[in-house]
Amino acid sequence: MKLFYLVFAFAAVALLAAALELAAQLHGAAPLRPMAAYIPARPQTAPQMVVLLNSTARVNSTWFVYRVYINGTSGYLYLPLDLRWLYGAPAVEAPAAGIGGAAGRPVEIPIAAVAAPAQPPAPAPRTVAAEALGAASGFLLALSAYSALCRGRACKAGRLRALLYASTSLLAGSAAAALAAGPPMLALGTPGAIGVYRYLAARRRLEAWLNTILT
Amino acid sequence: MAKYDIDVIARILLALLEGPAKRTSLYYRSRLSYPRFLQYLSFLEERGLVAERDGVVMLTERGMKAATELDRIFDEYLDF
Repeated sequence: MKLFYLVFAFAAVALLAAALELAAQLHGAAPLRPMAAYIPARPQTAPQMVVLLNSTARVNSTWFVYRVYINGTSGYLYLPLDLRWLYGAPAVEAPAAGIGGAAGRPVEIPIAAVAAPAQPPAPAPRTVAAEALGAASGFLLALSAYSALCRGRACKAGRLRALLYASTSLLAGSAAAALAAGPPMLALGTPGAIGVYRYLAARRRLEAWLNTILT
Repeated sequence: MAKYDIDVIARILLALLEGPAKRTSLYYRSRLSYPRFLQYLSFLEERGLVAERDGVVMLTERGMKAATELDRIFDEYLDF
C-alpha cells in the first residue's frame, strides 16, 4: 500500500495545485506561473481622437474625407456624411480649401471612444479542459479513497483497484495542473504512471494465473 | 458461466482463506446479487476449489493452495 499512499498524496497535491492556479487565474493573479512567462496586460485607455472639421474635402457626392488625430497620429477618415451637420456648423460646399491648409484655425471635435460592452471574456479552451480534468481527478480520488477504506484479505482486490483509481486521478490532476500552470507540472504525474503500470502488470499476472487454476 | 470476474473470484477465495463461512455471510461479502453469487459458487465447486457442507462453505486443499498463492500475488503488488 506504500505506492497507493504515495500516489494518493501526489494526486491530492496535483489537484490542489490545479485548483489554486485556476482560482488565481479567475481572480487575476497567477502565483504558480513562471515569472518569465507572465506578461502583465497594459492598461487600456480610451484613444484620443480629434476630427478637424475645417480639413474636410469632398471626394464625390456622398463621401467626405476628414483629417483626424488619433493619439497624436494623423490620418484621414472617409465618411459618407458631412460631420458639420451633426455639430450645427453651416454646410459649406467649399471643401477644396480644407485639407492641407484651410484658412483660419480648424474646428476641432474631440470624439470619445465608445466603450466596449461589459461582457465577461469567454473562458479559454485550455481553462475549460483543465477544469474538466480537475473534476475527473477529484471524482477518481474520492472513488479510490472509497475503494481503499475496506479492510481484510477479501478487500485486496478492491485495494488494487483503488491504486488504479488513484493513479488515474494523479495523471488527470497533473494534466490539469500542466494546462493551468505550465508543462513542468506534468512531472507530478510520474508516480501515477508507475501505479498504472503496476496495476496492469498485476492484472495480467492474475489473469494468467487464474486461467491455469480455473480451466 | 461464460465470463467470470477476477475481482469477485479473488474476493470469495480470500474471504474463505480467513476461515469457513456460511453461505449467507459469503454472499454479503461477495457484493453480488444472490443468483449471480450462486453461479460463482457452483463454478468454483465444479473446479474443486470450494466445498459446501451443511450450509458452510470452505476451501478444499486445492482451493487453499490457490487462495494462498492469490494472497501472495496481491501482497507482492500492493506492498511496493
